[in-house]
Amino acid sequence: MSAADTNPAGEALPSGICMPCSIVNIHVDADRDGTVDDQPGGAAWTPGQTGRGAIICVNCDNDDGKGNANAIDNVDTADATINGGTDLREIAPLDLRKRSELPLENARVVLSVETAPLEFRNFIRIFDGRAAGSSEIIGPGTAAEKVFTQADFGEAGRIELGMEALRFPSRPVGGAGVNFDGYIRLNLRVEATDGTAIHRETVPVRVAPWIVFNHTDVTEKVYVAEITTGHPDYDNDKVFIPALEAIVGGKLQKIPYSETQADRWVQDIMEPGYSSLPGDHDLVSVVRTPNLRDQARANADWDYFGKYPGRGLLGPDYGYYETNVPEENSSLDSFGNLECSPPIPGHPFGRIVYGEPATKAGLDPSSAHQPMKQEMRSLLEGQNLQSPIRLDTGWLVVGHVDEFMSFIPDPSGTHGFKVAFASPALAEQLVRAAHAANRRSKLFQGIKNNDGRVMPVSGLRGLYSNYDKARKILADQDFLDTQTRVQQILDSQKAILKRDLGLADSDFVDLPILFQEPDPAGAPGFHIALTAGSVNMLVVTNSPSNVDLVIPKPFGPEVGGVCQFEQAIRTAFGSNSIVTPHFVDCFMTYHLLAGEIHCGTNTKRIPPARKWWV
Amino acid sequence: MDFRKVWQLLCLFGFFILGTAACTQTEQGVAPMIEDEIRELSALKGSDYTTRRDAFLASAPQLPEYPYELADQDPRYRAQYLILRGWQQSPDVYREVQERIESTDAEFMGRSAAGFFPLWNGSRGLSASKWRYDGLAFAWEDILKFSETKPRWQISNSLFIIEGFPHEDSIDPLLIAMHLENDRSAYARRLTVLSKMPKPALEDRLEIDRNFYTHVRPILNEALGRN
Repeated sequence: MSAADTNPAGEALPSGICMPCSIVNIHVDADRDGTVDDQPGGAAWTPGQTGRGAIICVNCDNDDGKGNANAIDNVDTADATINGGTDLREIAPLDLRKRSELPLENARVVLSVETAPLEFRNFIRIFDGRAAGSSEIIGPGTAAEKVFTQADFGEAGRIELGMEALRFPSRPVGGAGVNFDGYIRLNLRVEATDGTAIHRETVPVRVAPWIVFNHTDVTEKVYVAEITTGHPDYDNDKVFIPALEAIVGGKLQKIPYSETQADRWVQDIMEPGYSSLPGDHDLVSVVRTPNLRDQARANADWDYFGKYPGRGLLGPDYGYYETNVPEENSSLDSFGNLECSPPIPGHPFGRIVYGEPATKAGLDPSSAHQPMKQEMRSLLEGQNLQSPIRLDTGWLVVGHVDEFMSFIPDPSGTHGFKVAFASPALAEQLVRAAHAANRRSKLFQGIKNNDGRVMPVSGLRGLYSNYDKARKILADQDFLDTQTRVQQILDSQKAILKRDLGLADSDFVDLPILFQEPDPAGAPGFHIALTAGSVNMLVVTNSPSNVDLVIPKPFGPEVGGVCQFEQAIRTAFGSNSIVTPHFVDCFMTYHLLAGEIHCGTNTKRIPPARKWWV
Repeated sequence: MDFRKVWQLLCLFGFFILGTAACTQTEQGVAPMIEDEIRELSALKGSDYTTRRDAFLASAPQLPEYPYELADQDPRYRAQYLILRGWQQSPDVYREVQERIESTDAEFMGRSAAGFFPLWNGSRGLSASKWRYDGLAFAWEDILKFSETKPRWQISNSLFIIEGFPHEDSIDPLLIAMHLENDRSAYARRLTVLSKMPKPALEDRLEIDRNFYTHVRPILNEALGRN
């Protein structure tokens, strides 16, 4: 028996089968240059400069202008065809090529994806071509396999197909969720008409991960929500936005009030990220908050701003993704609770940082924050690239990591950045010093509302009158105890960052912030910044050596008309040669509403040149 | 002529008669006329419901514990029965929950970065530690009768109350509220809460071969994580 009469396993072939005529290979873009290779795909997917293996894209932009009510129905993965416009940029090539020019006789070719442990056809779609109008042949709407015959190969002896991914990788969290590592095996089987296998091969492809931007990525756009209800205190169009625009200039994209419906927390509704693809294409996409936005009270407007990313941003080359049907789950689902460090050794795209509610003494577990929605955590944990660090934010009223930390590009840092970190201990020290210098030292001086009117402390909603003088603060032992307690929590969180990011003490920039426990009787254990949370800043990276920090003006204790907190912050950033601190009054429009400038802005950044697969 | 007022007067008169007649309990627990009234109430919503509920509560006798051997007969009737009994048994809890809602500065909270979560998390905590079963009837009534008329944050608050004290009696109100729900987020939230109810009770309902339960079987399977 000759080799031509047996299959690779040595099994005898039925008569009439020509072994050399029956070899068909899978060809993909395994060398990641943006075009299909002449060399077959190969059985392994390896990273690195010399690594091989194709990459497929979650095609979550909208290239053909679909306009359904639910944004998730408008992404290109929602339809089973290749759309027009730039959709082809998100379609990875896949060829089936015959090795011989002789016809494939008495045999057929079966291309398939596996059905276990997952139904992989729900994770990938394979099209019958690579041009607009090509239709799904493998995927959620068809089947897990497709059969081809000689007639399909044509004179060139090849079948040109296209691929898109349907879901980002995910990892189970807390015993729930889908375990999808991003790898999908394309199986090809050439079989005789009686089913005898003639040739088999498997080529793995990997779904491009969704990568969260970090503050060293150059800022392309700054988003802010216009609030123009006519309310003199809480609107932001006359004082705050002009001040912001003066700093960030043409980068500013004002989202009109008609789109925001009084929900100003643009940081919280979406997290911009990107997926890098071979062929030098980066698909920027936003993941919307898993949470249903509750800021608009009328039932019809409920979640109106939450839908904005899908309504106002989704389009060609601007993707949109939902991990779950949005619902009222937790304040921790907001993306002020999701940050990413700059690169560190071993993590060239940085590490994600998000908050979770650790149970602490004095906190009733049944009234504690719920963790971030499980599906969202599964996404963050599942990309296998920016290994998340979890910090305790359960002690905060709002519960977001950006309430106490921010990453600041700084060439003098161990890894080229430092961490601005809230410090009530420093704040207390500055209050004591201010009091020593001036027994009448006051706080909260010069706060302006949207009409530019200076607000008296008595006009501020909250406990501000209790703490508007340094002496009042120093006389209130409960309040000072709160600072000590919060500092202890913060120290424990700083230790986690030091350990997990490989940082030194000198990599932290302490910023003075006084905290309060606003409802110790009704909601004990929950804290929030009393003075403006200056750490909650907007970091605008104009270039690697030019960074604007838009910092909430703290309105701390004054000595000689100078805010001691502001002066301390300027000093703290004084040694950083690439940043320019700008202090902006956000007290009325954001701080009194439990947020600050970072909460009220968001950024689209430019994906770095470095590729995740290298 | 204001037919609405005439109807309300007739209802009040009817309830007086009913209240008198209902002194005799039937084998199943309540007099047929009261049973009819509860059945009619179960089909009402919004202000129509509130008016007749208040009239009923003003005149009806104390409802006995629901006969559990009939638990699967008519979920809508049973849910209504338990709501009314809740009003009779725990009016103070009703008032406390309502006062908590009324004292909420919704406009401010709606603007805040924390949204309504401080209220909702607090309600879940109170439900778990203080109100327990007695707070549930208020929440069932909200999701069944007022989901279209009350602000959504209040209905959400009631779902947090249900979540805070998982009890099998909450399953039917959730299923009733869900099986005609078209809003995908409202459905998702109810499903999340339903999935936190006692698993054996969810399983039990999968076994019931009656019209309503066969209709909602897909929801039950979803809640049990079986897609």
